Amino acid sequence: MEVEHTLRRKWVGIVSRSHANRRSFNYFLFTLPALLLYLGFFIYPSILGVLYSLTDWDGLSKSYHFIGLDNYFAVFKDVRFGQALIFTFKYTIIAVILKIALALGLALLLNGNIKFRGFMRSVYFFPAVLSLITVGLIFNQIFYTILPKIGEQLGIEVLSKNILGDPDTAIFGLIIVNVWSGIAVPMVIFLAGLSSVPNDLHEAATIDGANSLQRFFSITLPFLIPMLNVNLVLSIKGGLTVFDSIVAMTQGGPGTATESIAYLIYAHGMNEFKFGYATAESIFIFIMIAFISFLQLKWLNKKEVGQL
Amino acid sequence: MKFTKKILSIAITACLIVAAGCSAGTESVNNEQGSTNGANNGQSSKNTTEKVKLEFLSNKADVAETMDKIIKGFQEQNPNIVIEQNTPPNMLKVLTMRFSTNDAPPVFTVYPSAPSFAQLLKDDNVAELTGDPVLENVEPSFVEFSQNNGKNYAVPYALEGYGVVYNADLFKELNLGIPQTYNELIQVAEKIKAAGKTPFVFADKEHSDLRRISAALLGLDMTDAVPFFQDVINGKKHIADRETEIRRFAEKTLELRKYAQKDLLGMSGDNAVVEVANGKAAMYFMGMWKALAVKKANPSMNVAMFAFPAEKAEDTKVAMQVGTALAMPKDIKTPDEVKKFMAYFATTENAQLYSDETGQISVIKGVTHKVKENIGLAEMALAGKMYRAADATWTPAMQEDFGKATQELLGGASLEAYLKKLEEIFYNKAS
Repeated sequence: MEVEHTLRRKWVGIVSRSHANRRSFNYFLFTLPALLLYLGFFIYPSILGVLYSLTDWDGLSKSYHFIGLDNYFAVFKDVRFGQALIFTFKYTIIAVILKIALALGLALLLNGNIKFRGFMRSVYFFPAVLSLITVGLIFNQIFYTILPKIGEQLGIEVLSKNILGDPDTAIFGLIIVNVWSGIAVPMVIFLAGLSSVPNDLHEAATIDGANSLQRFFSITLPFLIPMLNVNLVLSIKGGLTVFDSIVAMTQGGPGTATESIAYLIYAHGMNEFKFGYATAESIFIFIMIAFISFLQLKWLNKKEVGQL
Repeated sequence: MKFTKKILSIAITACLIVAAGCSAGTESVNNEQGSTNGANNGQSSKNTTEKVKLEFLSNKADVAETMDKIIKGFQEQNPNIVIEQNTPPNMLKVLTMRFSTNDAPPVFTVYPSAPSFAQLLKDDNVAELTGDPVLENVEPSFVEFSQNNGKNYAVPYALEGYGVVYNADLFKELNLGIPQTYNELIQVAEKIKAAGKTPFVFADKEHSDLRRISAALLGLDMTDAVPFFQDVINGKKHIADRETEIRRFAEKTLELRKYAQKDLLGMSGDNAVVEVANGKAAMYFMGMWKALAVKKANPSMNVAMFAFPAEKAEDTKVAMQVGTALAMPKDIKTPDEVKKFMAYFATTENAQLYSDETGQISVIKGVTHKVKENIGLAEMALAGKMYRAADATWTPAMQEDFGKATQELLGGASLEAYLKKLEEIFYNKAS
């Protein structure tokens, strides 16, 4: 009891030494739970992950060996990983362009004076509330039953069979699904951005005789750069880590045509018991995404309003 | 004082979080020492009623109802044991995870011949049951069939296998007999095609389904496929050493697709069942559980199965594996209770119920197969006319790669490229 009492007095003494000190300590204590959770559930596993990537652990055995950087060398030599990398980039580029362009277009339309604006906005937002696995399974049936019929009617050879069954077209099946369900969030962010575009600038430009295209590129777009920035980071990250729709729709097939890096990591770690190797792959993709996001933030920050 | 209270409350919150983490830690330590009951079960076994709770982890969600009936009967006989059936999706992965975190369920389903089970055995995780009384009511030849390295680690209950699911009504209508040889099968397919129906449907969109039937087809013609591939994996032989046979298998695979649905790689397993059930397709080469799925989708149709015919009628056999088997972890606290349940499930009465309701081919003494959809296969298997598919000893990685390579073959890759790919997948890949 005695000890505890003195300790408490000491504590109080330390923290009440100065008002400012006490306050910041107070704030620090408030962050403590979050900090502990972050340390326990993020930093600690990340460090473990780096360690596992240096081993030949199969994810199950009680014993494993440290094999240095062998996993990383093997990743670079792996043809399948290279293919997955190419697929992932191809997918990301197409999906990001489509997502951003369509989201921006929809946001502009939904920001205009249309009837049932609130209702229309919720209609376009709706896909975002569905799980991608569910959406994928539904689209599986659409691609199998409905689309080929339409393709046959129109006489288009490519569409007259399941597009997921052809190595050349399966990627587009995945893109359609991901764009359909992934368009909502960027659209909402653009909508929020559009409300920050000052109307008087538009009015002034109209009086000066600028047409709507000129107004869009010279006034609206610069104000949207921060939103574009966020959307690009989000959708590029989403593209590089595409996984759930592949599991639901193609399982990386036909053959290995639609294996993304995330899918390959899953396949190596969970199906093939190459846990150490899969961890090395995921650290590789982590570094890659961090690098790409960094470049992109640096580049786009320069183009924001006020820094032109 | 107000301030001390604040600090206290925050400190308590922090302590609680840390404590929660710690208690989870002790749990797994306990488990390491042998308690596989998990935290809640451990507590309940200590309370006054002295009930033992056993978690039964199963990969067979489709037969969960039947198992519940058996569990109910067991609990009536043993009121102090409570069995909780748990059938999570991806159960084999869940099981691996549970073992790696020292939280293995006390009793679980396995495929004794599959690499997923070999993986568990490699680390000495599973209790050995060789010569154990729980195996007494199993047909002796199948006790041997379900061994790993000459020892029993699982109690086998039933077999599942591969064959051709066919629309018996349509066969009758077109006056077709059951094909006894491969050539007859092709002739039958020709006739069905001439009648304007799709002879075959193949779920080639699913690389795992394609791998299963391809490995079965390969093992049918190449009777020593399992040891041959083992030699290739160990680097002692090459795929090219048996090129003619593997070529023949690949050519057959392609020939059969000439009579299949036009969109080969676009057909999923579920859709294939629908194609057969609605009468559009006549035959579907796949596991025997698909016959029951077709029956469920169209109860008015007569569905049956025949074994995939070999080149010569007398060589026709059926690809089989133990599909239902139970195992338990090594060093568990309640081995007697688990064995009691294993033995109860192995009684003739319960095995008969299981066979009747699930259509699986029981290997328990005294059971007669009554499910008519696959009775032909059951008779062959029980008479010993069965074999293991070529993929029995492949690792999951090899199985997946083989399935995907075969997809590429169907997608238009050349036979040479396919053989080269097989060499890459298997040669000297033992680790």
